[in-house]
Amino acid sequence: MSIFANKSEKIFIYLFFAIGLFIPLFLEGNTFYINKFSTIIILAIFVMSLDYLVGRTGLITLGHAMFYGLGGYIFTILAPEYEAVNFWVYTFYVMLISGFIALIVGLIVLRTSGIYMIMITLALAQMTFYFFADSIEYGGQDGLFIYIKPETSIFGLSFLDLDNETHFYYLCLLSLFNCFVFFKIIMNSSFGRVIDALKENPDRATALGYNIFHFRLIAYVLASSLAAYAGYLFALQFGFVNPSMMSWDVSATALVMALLGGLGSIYGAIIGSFVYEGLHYFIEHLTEYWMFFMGALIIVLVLTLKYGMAGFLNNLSGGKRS
Amino acid sequence: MQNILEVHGLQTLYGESHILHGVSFDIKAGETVSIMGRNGMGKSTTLKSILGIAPPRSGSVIYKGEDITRLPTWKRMRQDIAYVPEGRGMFHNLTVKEHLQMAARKNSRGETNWTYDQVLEVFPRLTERLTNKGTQLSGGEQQMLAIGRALLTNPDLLILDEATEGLAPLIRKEIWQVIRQIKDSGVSTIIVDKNIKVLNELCEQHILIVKGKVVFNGDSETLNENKEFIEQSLAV
Repeated sequence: MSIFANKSEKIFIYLFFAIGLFIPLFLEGNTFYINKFSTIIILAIFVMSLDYLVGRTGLITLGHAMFYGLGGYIFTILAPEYEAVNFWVYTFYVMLISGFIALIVGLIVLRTSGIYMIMITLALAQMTFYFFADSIEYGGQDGLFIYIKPETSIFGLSFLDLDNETHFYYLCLLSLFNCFVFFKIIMNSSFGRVIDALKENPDRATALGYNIFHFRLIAYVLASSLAAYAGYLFALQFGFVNPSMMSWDVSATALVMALLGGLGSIYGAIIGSFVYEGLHYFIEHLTEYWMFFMGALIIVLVLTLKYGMAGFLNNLSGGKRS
Repeated sequence: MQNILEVHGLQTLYGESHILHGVSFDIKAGETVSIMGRNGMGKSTTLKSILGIAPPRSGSVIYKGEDITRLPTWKRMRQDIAYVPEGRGMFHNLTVKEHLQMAARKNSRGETNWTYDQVLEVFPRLTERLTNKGTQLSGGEQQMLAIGRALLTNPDLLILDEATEGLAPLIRKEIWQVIRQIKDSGVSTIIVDKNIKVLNELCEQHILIVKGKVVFNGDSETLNENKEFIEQSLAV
C-alpha cells in the first residue's frame, strides 16, 4: 500500500525532495539562501508536528512553541559549554526529556478540549516563557549561547560538519524527510485509524472500546517531542536560544502555516511553511508595511482555498479529496 | 444458565428530566433479548446506561457477575461488549476497510471468532465498497458495516439499537438474516426494535419499557398471551 493519500501528495513529495537534494549545487555556496532554506525546513518540521496535533487528532493548541523553545533550552542546558557533544545522543536526550514534559503537560491539558484547551495550553506556554525570560541562570531575555556545535559521528564515522551550512542544510532536509515518513507510517497504522476515528467522533471511538485519553496523550507526546527536535535544530543553526522562541505568536504563526498548507494533510505543512516564508520574504522587500499586506493576503488565501494549498494542488491534479 | 447481564433499579436522568425510573432485568448467557417500546420511552437510554454513555444516578449493572456500574465506557467495551448505535455512527474520514481494521481485535480471552474475511462473507455487499468512505454508503450498507465492525471486536454481548430502522424491506430481511446467524453462533444479543413479529420469532425473552419502567418481561409464549396489551403499548 502506498503511503501517499493521493496523487498530488506523491508528486509534491517526489519533486520537493528531488529539488531539495540538488538545490545547494545551484546556489554554489550562497550561504544566505542555504541558511534561509534550512530555517524554513526546520519550521516545516515544527508546523508538521502541530498539523498532526490540530489537523489529525483535533487537539487545538496555542502552546506548541513551548516545546519548540524547550528543545533548544534542553540542549543548551544539558550540553557542556566548551565541549563538542554527539548530535545523535543529544537528539535522543532532547526528545526523551521533552517527551516526558509533554506527558506531564498532556495529563493536565488533555482533560480539557476546544476553547478551554486553547486557553490552558496558552497559559502554560506563557508561564514557561516568563520563567525563562525572568531567569538569571538561563540568560533571561537574551537567552543562552551555543559556543561549540555538536559533532555527528556514528561509530567514529562522521559525514556531516554542522558548522558547514550545506551540511547542516542536508541534516535538516533528512530530518524533514524522516519526520514526514514517520507521520505517514503512524497515520496508516491502526493507531492512526483510531486517531482519525476519535477526531471524527470521540464517543463512537469510546464505544468501540478505545480509551481516547490514552490515544490523545500518545499523539500529544509524539508531536511535542518532534516540535522540540525542530527547536533543537533551530538553536543549533543560530547558535543560541532565547525565550522568544516559545512566545505565543510563534505557535499562532505555525497554526497559520498549517492552515495555509491544508490542515491534517501533513505534507501541507511543508507547503504552508514555504509559502508563508516565501511571501514574507517577498513582501518584506517590497514595502515597509509588509505585515498589513501579508495579513490581507493570508485572509484571501484561507478564504479561497478551503482545504489549504494541499487541497488546491489536489484539485489541480484532479484527485479525490481525501 | 448463568446470567450474562443483570440490571438493577437503573435511575437515569438527562439534566433535570428523569428518563429511567428503576429499570431492572436479567439476561441469560447465549440468549437473544428484545427491548420494545415507543419512541422516547427510554429504550436507548437503558442501553446507554448499561454501557456507561449515560451513567445512571443509581442502580447497578452486573456483567458476567462483576459490577461494572462505575467503569468507564471503554473499559466495559473491552470486556467483550459491542454496541451498534442508532444512526450507525460512521466515521466519514475512514473507508470501509479502515473501519473494519480499526475495530478488529481479539476478545478478552484472546479468541478470534470473527475475522475480516468472515465478516465480508456475511456481508458480501461490503466487499465491493471497501475503498468507499463510511458515509458514502447506502443506509443498509452503513448498517452492515456497523454490525460488521461490532462483530470484529469478537463480543460476548452484542447490543443493537434500531438496527433496521429506516431501511428498505429487502435490506431489513438481509439484516435479520445476519442477526439470526449471530444468534446461532452463541453471542448474547440485545435488540431494540419495533418489529414485534420478527422479534417474537427470534428472541427468547422480551422486555417492554413504558415511560422509563419495565412493564413486561417474559418469553415468547407469555408475549403471545399478552399480545393485545403489548400491541396497545407500542401503538402510536
